[in-house]
Amino acid sequence: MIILSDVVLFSIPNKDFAFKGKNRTSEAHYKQKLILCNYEYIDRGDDPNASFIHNLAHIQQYQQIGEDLFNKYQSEKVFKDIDCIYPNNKVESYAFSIELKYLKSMGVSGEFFMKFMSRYSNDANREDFFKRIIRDIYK
Amino acid sequence: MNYYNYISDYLSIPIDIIKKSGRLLSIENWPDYFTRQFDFLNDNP
Repeated sequence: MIILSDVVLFSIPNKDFAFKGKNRTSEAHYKQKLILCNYEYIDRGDDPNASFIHNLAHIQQYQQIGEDLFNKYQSEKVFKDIDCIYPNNKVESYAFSIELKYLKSMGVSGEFFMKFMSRYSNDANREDFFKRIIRDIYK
Repeated sequence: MNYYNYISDYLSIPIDIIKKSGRLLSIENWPDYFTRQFDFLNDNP
């Protein structure tokens, strides 16, 4: 079991996190066991899509399998017939599966998750990926 | 590790600004809704 109790959350002003054109509120730095986020992520008082456990799962997987295999998994498709590599890869599949298992345990529906994620993208391949993961977790 | 140095380098923001405006939260200071997720992952590895 990988020890995650030394994972650190570091929040910075929203304007400083809007860097490199990334449209997100938090991100995991796997090697450093760090979750970098903006103030809003902490201050809103909720995490409706459980993105925190998603980031923790990335750190956990990286620490378990090491950098080389982690990088390899990022470029390996999970569903061969879905025409994209993100999020259709073994790294994102693991993190989204953990995230959805947690949401299910909290009584959150797969439909809510789909609707929430659509605010970031309506790409059909991405939607197909989520539907298959949800079907597996909520069976 | 020195998180302030790392984040300063990563964001290309001077370290004194990171130290002044950043909040470093170890597990003891996480909000409950994050701790619940942490506990779930530990219980369901």
